[in-house]
Amino acid sequence: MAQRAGALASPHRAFWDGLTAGARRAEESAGTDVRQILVGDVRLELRFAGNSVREAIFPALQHLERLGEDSPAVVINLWDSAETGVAPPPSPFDLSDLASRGEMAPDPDGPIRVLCLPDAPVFMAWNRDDAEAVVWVRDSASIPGHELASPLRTLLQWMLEPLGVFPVHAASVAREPGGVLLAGFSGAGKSTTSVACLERGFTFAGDDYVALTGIDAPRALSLYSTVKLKGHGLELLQGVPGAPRGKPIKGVSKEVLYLGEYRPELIRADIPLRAIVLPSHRVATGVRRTSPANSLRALAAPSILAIPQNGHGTMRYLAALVAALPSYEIGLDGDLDRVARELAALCEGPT
Amino acid sequence: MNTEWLSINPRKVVHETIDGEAILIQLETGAYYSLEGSGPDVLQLVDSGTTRQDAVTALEGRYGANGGALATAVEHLIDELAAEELIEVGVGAPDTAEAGGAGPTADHNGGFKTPVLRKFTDLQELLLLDPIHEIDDSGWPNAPER
Repeated sequence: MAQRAGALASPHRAFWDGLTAGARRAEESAGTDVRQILVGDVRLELRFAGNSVREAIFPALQHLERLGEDSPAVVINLWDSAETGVAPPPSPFDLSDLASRGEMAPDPDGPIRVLCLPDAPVFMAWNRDDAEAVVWVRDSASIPGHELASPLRTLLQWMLEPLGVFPVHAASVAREPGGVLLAGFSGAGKSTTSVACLERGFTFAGDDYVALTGIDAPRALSLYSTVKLKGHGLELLQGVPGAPRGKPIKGVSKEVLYLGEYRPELIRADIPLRAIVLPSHRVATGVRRTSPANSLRALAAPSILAIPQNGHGTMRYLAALVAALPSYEIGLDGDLDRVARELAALCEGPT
Repeated sequence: MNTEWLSINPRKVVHETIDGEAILIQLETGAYYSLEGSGPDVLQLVDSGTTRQDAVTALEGRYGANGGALATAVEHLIDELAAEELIEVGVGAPDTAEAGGAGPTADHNGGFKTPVLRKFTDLQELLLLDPIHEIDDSGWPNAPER
């Protein structure tokens, strides 16, 4: 790690101070657009310096926007250099400090954590003590596609877990009065199942990432309004009259549909969960019980490995969740009407 | 003979056991595992802090020596877990003051079952992508002050 001569603060603290000072100058330069979103009961404030970063990432979060009097639990300051003209602080880190999953010089016990997406570049810093984050990007046009479709995912993990809210790699669809959590690895069929359900009277909290909270009455909370599709799922969507095409986004192998712009009434911010369902193209059509351990594996591994975190809080929560909810697997081979009927029965059935 | 202390490094490994099956995630390699049979009993002993010999003794006390088959199976599993960097083996005194407290608490009605460790590597790409080699010279903010 590069050390600046005479610097007394830790590299993380020095970089944090530089990023926050830059955010203040950027707001003075380009103005501030303050938005608040609710993830379950957690209020987050996003302070955009200028317009370009907001225009890039906020569409995926806009469905969560809620005005309110309550103080936010966390504040995220976002700024770029291209629009505001404010340069980033000198980096105390070397490229050799970049660990797996993008964390810079990981210091899990320290109050400040720094994430880097080097190809943009983007820096995100989280200060646990102040419940505040800063996001800097050189140019909003270079934000990676995955950050447009599912913005701030690592920051949300770091912020929300201490508040008992656990972002996970899963989808959730619902019929009144409840819903199901669709778990599985990429390609298992979460998005295909989600779209098939959306066109058959379901609502939806997310097709790839949702947040979970509660054990006695577990709920899936919406994070993003985007649907990422390719192959069969995209054909399904294109076969629906009036459905728009997804947007190709650089760096994302699927097309991204902003459901909030297309059918906002289909997005449900908060779904009471009745079951965990593992969709699969590899098993026969029909729904059948599966073990909680299968659900734990399908939920925990992709959720924990995708984000720099110690994983223990998420793992404990997920183990309790799979013990509390029944687990099923459902075959996607063929009749999606039947898939939707079977999922509806799980959503509508007794708890 | 040196004592071999067994432990799990919480910075490297996350695990939970449910319905007699343990799920383990190795955070550094990106591999994840399913451990069945009497494997979760061994894992629980290691997680509490134990030695290789004490783990065998504890399980023999619970299940019976079984003509040495149990000891062989447990020793094999310990070696397998160590090779996969799921547990750490130290020689000499343990790092912690107290060790070997809790014994297995799983349902033992079925007797000892040969541990089965299954490894999954399909998510390793999440960790092993090396972004450093995907950026150019313009992909880094200001150079540090010298």
